[in-house]
Amino acid sequence: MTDTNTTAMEQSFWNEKKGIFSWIFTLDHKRIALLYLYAITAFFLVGMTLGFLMRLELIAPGQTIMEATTYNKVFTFHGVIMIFLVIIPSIPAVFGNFMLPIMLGTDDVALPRLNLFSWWLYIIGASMALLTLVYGPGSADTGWTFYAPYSVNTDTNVTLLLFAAFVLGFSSILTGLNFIVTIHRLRAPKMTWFKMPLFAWSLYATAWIQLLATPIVGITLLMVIAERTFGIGLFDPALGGDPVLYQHLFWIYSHPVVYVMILPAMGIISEILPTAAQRTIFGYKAIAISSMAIAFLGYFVWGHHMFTSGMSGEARVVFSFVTYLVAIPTAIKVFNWVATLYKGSIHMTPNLLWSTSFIFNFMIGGLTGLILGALSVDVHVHDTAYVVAHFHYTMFGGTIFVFFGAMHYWFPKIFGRMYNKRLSYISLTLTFIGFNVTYMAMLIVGGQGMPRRYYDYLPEFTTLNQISTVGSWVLVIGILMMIYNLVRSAKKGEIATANPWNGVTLEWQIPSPPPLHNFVKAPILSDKGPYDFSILDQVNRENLEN
Amino acid sequence: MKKILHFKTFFLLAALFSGVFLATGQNTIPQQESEKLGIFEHLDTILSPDIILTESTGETFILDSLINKPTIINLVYFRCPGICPALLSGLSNVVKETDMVLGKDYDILTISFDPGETPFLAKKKKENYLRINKNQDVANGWRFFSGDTANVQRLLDEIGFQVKKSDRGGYIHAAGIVMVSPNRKVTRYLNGVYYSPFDFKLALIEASKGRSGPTINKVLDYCFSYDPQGKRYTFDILKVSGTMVLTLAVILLFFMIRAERKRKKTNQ
Repeated sequence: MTDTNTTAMEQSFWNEKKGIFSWIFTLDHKRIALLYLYAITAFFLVGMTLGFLMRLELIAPGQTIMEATTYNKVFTFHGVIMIFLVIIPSIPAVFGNFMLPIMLGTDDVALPRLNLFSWWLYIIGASMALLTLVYGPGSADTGWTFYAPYSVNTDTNVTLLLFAAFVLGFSSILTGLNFIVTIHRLRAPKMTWFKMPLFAWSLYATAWIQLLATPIVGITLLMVIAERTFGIGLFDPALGGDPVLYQHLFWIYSHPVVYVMILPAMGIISEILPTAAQRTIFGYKAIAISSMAIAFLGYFVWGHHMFTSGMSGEARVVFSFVTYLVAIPTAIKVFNWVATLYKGSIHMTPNLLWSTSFIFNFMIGGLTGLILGALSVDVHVHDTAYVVAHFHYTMFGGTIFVFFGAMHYWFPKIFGRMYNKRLSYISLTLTFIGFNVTYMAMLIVGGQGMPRRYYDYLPEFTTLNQISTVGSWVLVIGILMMIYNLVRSAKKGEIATANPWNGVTLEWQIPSPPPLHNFVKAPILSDKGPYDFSILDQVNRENLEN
Repeated sequence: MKKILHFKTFFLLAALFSGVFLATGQNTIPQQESEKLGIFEHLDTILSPDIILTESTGETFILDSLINKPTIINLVYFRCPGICPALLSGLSNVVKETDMVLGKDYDILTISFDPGETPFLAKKKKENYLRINKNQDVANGWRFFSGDTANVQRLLDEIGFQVKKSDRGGYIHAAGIVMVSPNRKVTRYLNGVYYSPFDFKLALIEASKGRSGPTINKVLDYCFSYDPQGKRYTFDILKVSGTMVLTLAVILLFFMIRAERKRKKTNQ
């Protein structure tokens, strides 16, 4: 057993070529995925540190560790890093790149050179964003939304940061394009649309959003740059522009893009749960179609970010109503996941627990979202810590939790080694508790009237803010412990088998870690869809023979 | 082949970076503050004591004699058809909501920036709020002023509140209120026309200590008349680019589906 796996490691993509250039100019989708993984992890740690410092500032009323202007810059950079550099690329660029071709039964994405180019664009965009910290008149303090006309008038280095976001947008568009072409052209023979794994479905829905919505923000950001540089009046009323137009354009992109962040995460949950319960997914078609429905409806709800920006009453009512419609496909998914677990032969694994934590967090995130989508209530909680807590429940408790869960699910496949499960349970518990303490306290204090983006607050909010800050310490310890466990196990962990969780999708039918061209022989495809566990014995037998 | 690829990548990198530096090299067109429009924060400025203003009663005062506790200055013009009434009613609401007491903990000075306006207009405005804010001491705590061109302009410059006379009559201007400490130091700007009781109280407490804080809500609300016909090109940019993106997406989908059909046929 050990012998076969040592050879698996020797013959894997890890050992195909050596040296830094064999990585940064690789055309192999698995290596590109890992390049993204390392970069995203680094940026995540930076973003997390900034968030940690903000919570520390809020441990007591008044100024504690930073000045108000510094706080403005810190929350801007926390937002920009976490949204543009971490969450948007996280799951598609890492797990999409690594797993999509394997799950479809092919040896690479359709356009490998474009894939490498996307990574380079990502790195260039990220470097430009970081450059604003040291170059020019000081880093931006606009918040990650860059609202005009302030973003047009501020003296800080907004132009470069906007251009960075523009370049990152292109990276995202090209990744989306690549996935669309891959899914259309490179599926294994006999794998029809409704026999594709659900992760591929969610990436397909995501890719269309990336392709159609991202150009809008690209053009909008260029318009702000044009206004700043050449004084063309587009958004600044002093020059004859309309500031509300900026908000429309920004949210026409930025609302669909939250589905870019969450849909792939939902796809991964639909992979982990059948494997954990050892049974087929409940409602395959409903989940697949609901992904497309969310992607479609997501284009028509942007106005709910602007309820207090001076839209007409009719428009606000319509946006509020359409926002409620998004809850339907989302709820379909949640019910199907729970039904999948019902009466399954559940195997307790860290990745299952990450997934159920996701469902718990995401329910809170989703339900608070309905409260915010209700027009009348939103006017009251608008711009409070309640909103901040809500989107951290969906984006952090949602997407990032699934990212961690996926890490624990596919880790043995990617690195060929198993992590320390005991340590992973402890780190999950700490992260889960820390997360909920931090953001639940924020949810309550926001409901009581604590505004967002403040470095200071009235004395009556002290207790809840302190609870939240202490929660953030637990959260950070949990995350650091998890990263330590994974980094250490990648080098020193036990050698993993080809199919440690007894899954049946195609990635479990090849050696861990995969060889350069993924498949040495044709994979087994069931006629009953991707989650047919009756083929499990056959899959495991074939794995042993390899 | 691989060498060429490396070369291409580096070439692209270099081209992109030089583009960026060109873009950032030309910074915002330099503009004098006085030519601009909006609120330009002058935190920690001490307002001149000798600015002369005329109250709604017709009496004249110097600014020094008007400020002896935390004071809110708001600049409007009384005949404003747009945002000023909204600002004043936002202010009147927060006066009702906050637990700070008007006239005791703080004062409000509403000052017209239109030198053509008279104490009579100020008086009419004041009567409004005497009626609306019956339970507060509007009579002594909320005072309405006008002034001549020189004095008003001095005040506007010191606060950093720049307005523009509009071609269509009236003024284009931003909305916001300014907190001033008992010794006339500018301590905070609250932008917009709605003020949360939280911001309001925090700002007053700061002002009473003479401690200044930077603005949190940087989004300015403007009173302006927008001419969509004259701004066609903005919408044209959007229409053209939107049509292009959608057309390309449809073409992509068409070719994808066609290729898939072909493949199916050859497989059969």
